[in-house]
Amino acid sequence: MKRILIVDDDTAILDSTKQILEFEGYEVEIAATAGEGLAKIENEFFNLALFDIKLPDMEGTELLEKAHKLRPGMKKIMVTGYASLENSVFSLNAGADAYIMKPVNPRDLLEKIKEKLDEQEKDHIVDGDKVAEFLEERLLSIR
Amino acid sequence: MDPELGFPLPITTGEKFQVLFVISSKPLGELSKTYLERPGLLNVTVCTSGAMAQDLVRNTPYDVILSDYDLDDMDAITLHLKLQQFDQKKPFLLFNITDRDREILETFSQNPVPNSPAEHDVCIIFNEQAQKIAQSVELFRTRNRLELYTRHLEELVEERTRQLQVAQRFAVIGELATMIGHDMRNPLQVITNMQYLLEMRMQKMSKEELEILHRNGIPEIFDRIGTEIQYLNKIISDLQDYAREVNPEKSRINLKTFIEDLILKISPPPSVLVKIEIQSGMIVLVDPVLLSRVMENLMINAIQAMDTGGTLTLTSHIAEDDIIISIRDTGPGISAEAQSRIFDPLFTTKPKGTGLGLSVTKRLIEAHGGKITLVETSPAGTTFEVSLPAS
Repeated sequence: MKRILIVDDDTAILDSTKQILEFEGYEVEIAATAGEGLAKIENEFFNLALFDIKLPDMEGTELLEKAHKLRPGMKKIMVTGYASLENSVFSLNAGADAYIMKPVNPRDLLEKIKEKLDEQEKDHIVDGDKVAEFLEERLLSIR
Repeated sequence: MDPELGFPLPITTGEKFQVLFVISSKPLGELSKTYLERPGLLNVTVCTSGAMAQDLVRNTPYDVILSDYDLDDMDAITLHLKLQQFDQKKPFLLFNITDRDREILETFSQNPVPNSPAEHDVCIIFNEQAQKIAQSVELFRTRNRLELYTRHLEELVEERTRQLQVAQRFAVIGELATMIGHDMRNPLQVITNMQYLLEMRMQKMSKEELEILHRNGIPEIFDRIGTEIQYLNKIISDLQDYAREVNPEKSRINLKTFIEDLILKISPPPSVLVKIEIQSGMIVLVDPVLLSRVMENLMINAIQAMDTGGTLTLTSHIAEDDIIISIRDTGPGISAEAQSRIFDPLFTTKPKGTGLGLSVTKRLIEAHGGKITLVETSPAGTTFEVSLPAS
């Protein structure tokens, strides 16, 4: 079962998004602050995380950078109300995989999440292929 | 006249002023013409009555009217008033000379001996008159120029003030939009989420449970809430579009398929026939997000204008480096009063419009260096044209 973390300071958003994702069969954890979110990221495994851009204890972009250092393989989607170019460019540079605007249609959100998770799976396959390739080369060179 | 500003030009060197001299004494008139023209400043036309003067002034643009006080048919004041009546705002001078000078002129006119001391006196008299006339024309033109400058300045100040007020209004709307967009986003997101969950849960309900809901009209009520949420969402995204800074990111798109996809998304009612007259395979370099917002807004407007059905026609061509797309509907047209305001924020003719659609559209287009024009509107329909730089 794919695990998703949602970080948002609005509990109603957390709760309703959690319900939607759970309805689709995901396992969902929530965090109301960046600190709480980072602790969960450090101690648990998540396939994907949704970060609100504005959080009480730090900027969403800062959380993104820290999370990216901890878990580069975890897919990270930034959620925001006002898209400004600086924010989105910064986020993408800092390791965000996607950028979505509130209000977001739940169907679009689910689609985006699925797209990113599929990508992740493909990445794993590619990673696996790379390892196989690498081993093969090594073997050849040893011979 | 200055061709750009419409001001009378300042006096050019060598220019001769056109003078109409009204004097009933023929010999004095002829004498005056000769000697007034001698310093080379004036061209003099002489006429002998007030009535004639009025006819002449009506047809010829004189620079100045010079009149003897006593005319055969009227006095100079009456003539002046009559000329003013048909808006003759030319300088009007009295042929004002002393009785002694007048005697000198009359005597000389009866016996004009060139190079005599009498002619010398005549020359002095007319020289002075000629100078006076020329000065009065110069003064008149300068005053006119000043007056026009002042009026132009006043207009300029008025126009700038108006522009400032508009800019201020837009700035306030922008701030308000950011604020509302920001504060309404979260609750709206929660409502949207809940509405989605409601639908999902209902899909999972048993037939019997659903029947109870249907019997009580519950799904219809939820549908209504859903429609209104969509409307609220539209307001929020309009507001956010309005407040957001615009940064174009261009890519190559196939215009025809792009428009076809958009139409699928909008799904016009069956009463509206959509005609796409765009060359297939036409590739343009534009910001796809911008183009979809713009086209969506314009097409939805066009469709809404044809509530009893009609034809929506989309055409496109390339002109120099611009891609030009026109959107034509067969709706009832835009009223004359509304035409000048359709691009103003918060102006709307729809009972459920935010008045942001077209102003956002215009803003987006202009931020990308393009323009939008209302090409034509009549009871037969309305055509908008969008032109975007495509390179």
